Amino acid sequence: MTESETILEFSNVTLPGVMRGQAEMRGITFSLKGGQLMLVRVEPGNEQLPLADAAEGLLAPKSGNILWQGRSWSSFTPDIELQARGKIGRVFEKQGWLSNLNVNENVTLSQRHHTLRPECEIGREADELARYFGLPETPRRRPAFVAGHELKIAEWVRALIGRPLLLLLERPENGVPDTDLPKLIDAVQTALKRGTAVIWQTDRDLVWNTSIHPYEFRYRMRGMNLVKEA
Amino acid sequence: MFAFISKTGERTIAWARSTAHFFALLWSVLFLASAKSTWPRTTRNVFARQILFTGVEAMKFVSLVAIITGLSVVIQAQIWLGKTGQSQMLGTILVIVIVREVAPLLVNFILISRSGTAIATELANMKVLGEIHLLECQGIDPLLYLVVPRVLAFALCVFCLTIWFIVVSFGGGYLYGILAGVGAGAPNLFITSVLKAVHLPDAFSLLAKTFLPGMFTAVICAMEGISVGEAITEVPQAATRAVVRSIAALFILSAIVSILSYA
Repeated sequence: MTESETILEFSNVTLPGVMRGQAEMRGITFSLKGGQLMLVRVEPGNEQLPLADAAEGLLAPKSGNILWQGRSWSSFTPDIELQARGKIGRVFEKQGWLSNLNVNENVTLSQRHHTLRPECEIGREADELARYFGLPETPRRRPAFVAGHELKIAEWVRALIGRPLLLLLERPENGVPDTDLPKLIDAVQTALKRGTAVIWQTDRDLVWNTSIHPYEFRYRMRGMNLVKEA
Repeated sequence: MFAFISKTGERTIAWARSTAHFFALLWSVLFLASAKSTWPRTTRNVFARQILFTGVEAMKFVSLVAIITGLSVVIQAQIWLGKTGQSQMLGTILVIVIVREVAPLLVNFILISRSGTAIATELANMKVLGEIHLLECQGIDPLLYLVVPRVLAFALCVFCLTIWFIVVSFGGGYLYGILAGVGAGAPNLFITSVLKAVHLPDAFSLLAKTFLPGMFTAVICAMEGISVGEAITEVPQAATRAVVRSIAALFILSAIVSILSYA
């Protein structure tokens, strides 16, 4: 993985807002290489964007092209498409848990599914990340029985585990006090140094006003348009 | 008149689409199940859990029903065959009644009501709550992770529980016959009489009446579960449809297998 490799590219993309409450997006053009950060400031009342689904190839654009490592999502075979998604870490805007697995099983699911890493090694990495963020370990209870704040931190752990190629953070700071955010910012900076590309959607001033990385691009949602900040 | 024709046509097309969808899903499950790449540890875990929920946890209830059935059928057979002097027919009668028809039907019924509804409801809830989308986002194929292991585990459990049902019902009936003093005979004679009555078509029939309805039920329940939209009110409707269609498939398959095996 080198910093020069383009991981994700949007060329003049228009996205429909398919989920309830999602905004339509028009004219999205950007290119994101390994080790680069794209910070997107969402507008109040229009926080949910279809950007992450489109980046994962789960939402076909109305127009334009979306390329994953230089190839269009539509050109992949189903197997390659699934493997590619296995290299993406994501903190979800909405519900992000399988209710019939405990939180630890949820957090490690993708790594256990896509890799042959030993279970104990995956579990150790998850618990180390959880401890870094201030939890004693990733909770062994079902998501319904875990406090919202702990769940959000567990989502961070899930997104970061296994050194993903791309991190999609949909308002990961939601439901978490400002005091916990520096650790998340540190973890994202470490991932960026390792060559992970990051898209971070935020509406929190603390995140927006922090200079996270030298290779960062800032965008703002203005109506349906994604506008690059000077 | 036109409205009636139009409605009939619409229903026929909907039924044909649903049937085609069902067979496509069944074929995909069988095709995927044969590929090694389908079985990473996560899928194997789901398979093991499904065996636990559908098979192991249902054993107590299946045993209870088997004992009651064994008492009824074995005792009736022993009494009436004894009265008519046809005791040597005991094995044949038991195989005809329990092995060929009652055991597969009852076990399928129990598992449809117990686990079929659970599969339909669970998958429907997952769909409504966005959990299937969540799997896709992590690069996990919902068909491979949710459907394939459930279908195979369900079919295997129907077969194993049917064998268990037969053993328990015969054993229970035999023991009660001894306790009640209705002349059950020596155990080895009872077992020999039953085993002698089992022929190749019975083995074929037992396999077909367990594995086929088991797979059909699980595929129907999974299909109905995944087919819901975004409203939570669709979940019970999907479960009801799944049960009704599974029972219909069970009877149709049982009749077809009986005709093919014995006619």
